[in-house]
Amino acid sequence: MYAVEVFNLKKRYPKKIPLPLRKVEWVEAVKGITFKVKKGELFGLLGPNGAGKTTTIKMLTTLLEPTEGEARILGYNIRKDAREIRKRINLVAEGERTLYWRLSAYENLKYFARIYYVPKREEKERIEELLKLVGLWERKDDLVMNYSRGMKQRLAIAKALINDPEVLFLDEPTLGLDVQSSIFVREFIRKLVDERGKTVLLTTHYMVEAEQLCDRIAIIDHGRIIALDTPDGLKKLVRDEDAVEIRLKGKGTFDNLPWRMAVVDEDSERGIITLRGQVDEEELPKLVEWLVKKGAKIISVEQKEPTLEDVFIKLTGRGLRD
Amino acid sequence: MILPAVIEKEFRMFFRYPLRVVSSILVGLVFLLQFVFFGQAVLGGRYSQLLATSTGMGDYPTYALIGYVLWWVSVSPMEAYVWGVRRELQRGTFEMNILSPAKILELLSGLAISWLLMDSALMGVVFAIGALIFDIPLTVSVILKSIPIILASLFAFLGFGFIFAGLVMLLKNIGPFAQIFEFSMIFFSGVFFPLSVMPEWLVAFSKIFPLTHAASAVRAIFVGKTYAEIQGEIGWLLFLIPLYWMIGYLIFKWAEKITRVVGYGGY
Amino acid sequence: MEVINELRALYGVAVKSWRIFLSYKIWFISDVMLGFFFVGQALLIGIGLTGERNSPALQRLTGYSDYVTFAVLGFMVLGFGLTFLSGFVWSVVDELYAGTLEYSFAAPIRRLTFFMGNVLTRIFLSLIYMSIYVPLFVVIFEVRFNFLNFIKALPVLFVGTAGMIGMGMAAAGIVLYLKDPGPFITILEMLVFALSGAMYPISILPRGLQIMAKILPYAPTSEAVRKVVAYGYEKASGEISYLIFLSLLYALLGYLSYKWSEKRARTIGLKSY
Repeated sequence: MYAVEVFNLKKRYPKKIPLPLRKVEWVEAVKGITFKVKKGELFGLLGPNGAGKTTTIKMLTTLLEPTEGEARILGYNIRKDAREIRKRINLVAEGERTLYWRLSAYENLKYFARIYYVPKREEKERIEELLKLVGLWERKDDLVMNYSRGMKQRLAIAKALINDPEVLFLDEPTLGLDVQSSIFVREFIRKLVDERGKTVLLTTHYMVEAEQLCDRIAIIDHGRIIALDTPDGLKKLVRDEDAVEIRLKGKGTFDNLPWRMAVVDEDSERGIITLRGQVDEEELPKLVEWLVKKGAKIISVEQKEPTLEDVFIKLTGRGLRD
Repeated sequence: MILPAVIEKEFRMFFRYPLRVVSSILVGLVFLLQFVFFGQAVLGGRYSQLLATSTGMGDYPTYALIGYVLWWVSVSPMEAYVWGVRRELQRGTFEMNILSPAKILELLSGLAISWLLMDSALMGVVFAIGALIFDIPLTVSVILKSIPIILASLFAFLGFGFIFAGLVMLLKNIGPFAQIFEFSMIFFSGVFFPLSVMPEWLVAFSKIFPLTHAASAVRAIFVGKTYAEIQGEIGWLLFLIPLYWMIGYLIFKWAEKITRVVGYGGY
Repeated sequence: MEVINELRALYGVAVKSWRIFLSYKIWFISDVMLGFFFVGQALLIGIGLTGERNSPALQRLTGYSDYVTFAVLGFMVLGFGLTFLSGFVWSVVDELYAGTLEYSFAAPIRRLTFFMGNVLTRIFLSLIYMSIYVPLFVVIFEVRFNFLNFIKALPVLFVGTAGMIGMGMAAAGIVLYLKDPGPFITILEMLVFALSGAMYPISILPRGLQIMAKILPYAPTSEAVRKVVAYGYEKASGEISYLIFLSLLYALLGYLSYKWSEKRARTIGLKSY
């Protein structure tokens, strides 16, 4: 039994609001994606910013109407059964302003409990349980505006569990969080799946996050799924050769090389650029020569274990960074 | 039980800051004082024979106070949609509400009712202070008799404001236009001066605003008229309530269809 | 050299706040409408209540029988005067909310330069409003102005300005320490609005409010300006001397309280949020 089934889903946005008599241009954000998520699975959509991840999540959570294609959540059709779906799912949206800052944590959860029809006799108990679960019980009466970014995100997760959803959607759950909060959030999500049997669909552009956390990953780019497998399965795509990481100093752009390499890091303070990709042993000297000709000072050339980033670079010729 | 939840949320956010409440009341009072004192200075007193002939109520402070308080409450649902919804759209809390299984219509009308109740409370205070400052005679029977009229007016105001619920989801910069519209209501509905000074076509046009009838009905009650004598106004109000609710609902449904395509964060 | 640098900084601040204003174009229309709203309201109230364009009652109280001209003058003095209060206070608050205040204050420019830059933009704006209002008021509402007299009254307006700036500085000093300054400013603006004597002579206010109105610099300014426009300097000497006294007092008060608050800001830090 699948929790999420997606068939050839497409979404076109108008650039302006289409009022009567107004001609508008349309942009295609999602260009036909198909995938299934099993019950109790932790599924990731990995891709760079603007790949269509958020649009996909908004369609699956019934916030946006798809232009074409179909999707079912727990067997319900996202076009026709929005209300049935909304009762059984929840979402942690991107950004930190998805809660009422002028209410306390407790008041926020109380409000959402009510608009999710949580029975009155369960309300108190559930709010207490959730606030303890995310470690905010001690500060339940503080206004959200006095919370740190990490605390706000933990509260957003508690809010997303208020209706005990069967499927939980998370859009970039660790974006902008400090290291400690990120670790907390990741471990928490894993536990939701392992211990409570929830189905989770999350989006991220951090490949480490996808690799550590997800049972299966769909790599999405320009509105299309370009690969879908377990992290190990995906890495098999690049396993036969090792990855090469070149660190260099130099001005100019090193994107769009004639090899499948991409800039994966840029230390603008020290002027150090890190390139990564898969290059044959015979090709490597040519690449280095080419870089030197372009004015680069090579600092180091290293062989690395392949990661999901290498998969993405191999498939698209670009890196995942912002 | 969506309505009480929304109302509780809005009340908590507003009444949490006593200084904000005080400042709202003061804003309400100051605009009132401006025009009433001006009228008195021009009139050299409070009673205008001309006003009495054209409207049936000669005491200017009473005339202005009733019209003004009702005007403030009448634009409140509009403000709830224009500013309340917009605020939630910008902050991202709107989508979180839409995501819940509660009906959007319930959530939105909850917002408008909350603001209407808050503003009614504020204007109750302004009315009381105004009555004290201008020494307006009040009797229990006049107040009791006004209540059904005021309740009917509130329903009409809610429907009228509802038109904006749909619009605000589509047009992001509706704020200044709404403000201009709100202020023009003061002119159209004869809040501070009798409509008799306006051209005839405008007087006819003013009939489409619930405020016009609400103000004129309550003023009539204050000068001791019976319900039978104001059945015209009451009839208009009862006619406008379903009309505006229907128009508002249709616009909203249309806007909702578009926002589902464009996205609620269309901003 | 230092003066030139300071002037350039002033210009920089003014240009910045002008640009920010330009990003809210539609509000401009709504703001301009507000002026017509007030004056139109005044006309219609007068006609609705008396049926006349002139009011003998107002003539007895103030010397003005044309109530629309009376209101226009008051409205313009008020608009000009609020520029200072709002300029000072909102320039602090907008930047506090936007989180840029500490950057602006960390710059080596004098804080007064920072404030005056913001005020300058607002004065420029209110001049634009006036240049829209005055001709249109004359045409639409048949406001009768003796321009010569109005120009003669300008020195009085400038005397009042010193007091208004003083009050603005004092308010800015207080605002630096408030957690949620929005409502405080609104309350202050409303008090000024109600007690400015823009729309009515303060002599018809209840006794307590009259005293408060006399203490703030606004009503004395508009009364003195109106009197000069109507009767000339000699008859207005009483009003003018009171205004000079009050303005000096506010200028001093504003300067001292602002200095004090700036010193405190350095020891306890700006705001608590």
